[in-house]
Amino acid sequence: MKRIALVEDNPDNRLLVQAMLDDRYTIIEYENGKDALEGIAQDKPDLVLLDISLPGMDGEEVLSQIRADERLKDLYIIALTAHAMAGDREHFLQLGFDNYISKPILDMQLLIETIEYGLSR
Amino acid sequence: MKDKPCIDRAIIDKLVELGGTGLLQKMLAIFLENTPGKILIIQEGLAVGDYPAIANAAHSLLSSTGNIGAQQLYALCHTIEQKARQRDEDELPRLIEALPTSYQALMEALAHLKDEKQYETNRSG
Repeated sequence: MKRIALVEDNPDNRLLVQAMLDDRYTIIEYENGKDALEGIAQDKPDLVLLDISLPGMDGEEVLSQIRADERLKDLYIIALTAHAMAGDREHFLQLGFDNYISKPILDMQLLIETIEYGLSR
Repeated sequence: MKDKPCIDRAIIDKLVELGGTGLLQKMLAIFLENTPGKILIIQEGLAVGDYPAIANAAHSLLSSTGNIGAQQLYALCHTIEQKARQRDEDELPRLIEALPTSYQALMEALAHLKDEKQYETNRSG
C-alpha cells in the first residue's frame, strides 16, 4: 500500500481525509511542520498532502525545506488550503507545489484522482 | 449570508455515506469542541486590534464549517477573514458580533437534525 503523509493541524480535516483514503493508502499524520519534516525524512512517504496554514512553521516553509533536502526534493507535494481564491493554483505551483486541492475536501473522487496522478509521476 | 440554509443537508448525507453516523458524530464532536475557542480568539482579536489573529482563526474555521456543511457560518467566517486581512475596522465589529448568533443557529439546526430519528435509523452504518 502506498504511503501518504498528511500534514494538517485541524483534527476534523485529518479525520475526513483518513475516512476517504484509509482503505487505499497508509496515511501517516503530522499535526505541525516540525514533526512533519522529521517524520517525512525518516519515513519517506510516496506523496505528501500539506496544509498551508499550519501554526508555527507554515506549509510554504515546510515545502521549502523539503525541496532543499537532496533526499526529499522530488517528493510529490499537494497543497491543501481553505477557500480557493482566483490565482491560488498558479501561486502554489509557482512556489514549488506539484498540485493543489482546496478545502473543505468534499469531492473524494477528485482527491483520489489527484493523488493517483501524483503517484504515477 | 442569512439567505443560505444553516446546514447543507447534502454534505451531512455525504459524510454519513462515507463513514456512517460514526464519522458524522466524530466530525461534529471535534467541531463543537474547537469552534467556541476560535470564536473567542476572533472576539479577543477584535478587542485588541489583532487582525492577523482574527484572520487566522476565521481561516481555520473555514474548512471546519465547510466539512459539516455549515453554510451560514462558513460564509460569515470567509467574510471576516477577508475583512481582517484588509484591516476593515468599520465592517469587522458588526460581522464578529454576528458570530455567536450564527453559531447558536447552527447548534439549533444540528439539534434538530439529531432529533430526526429516522435519519439515524435509516442511515446508520
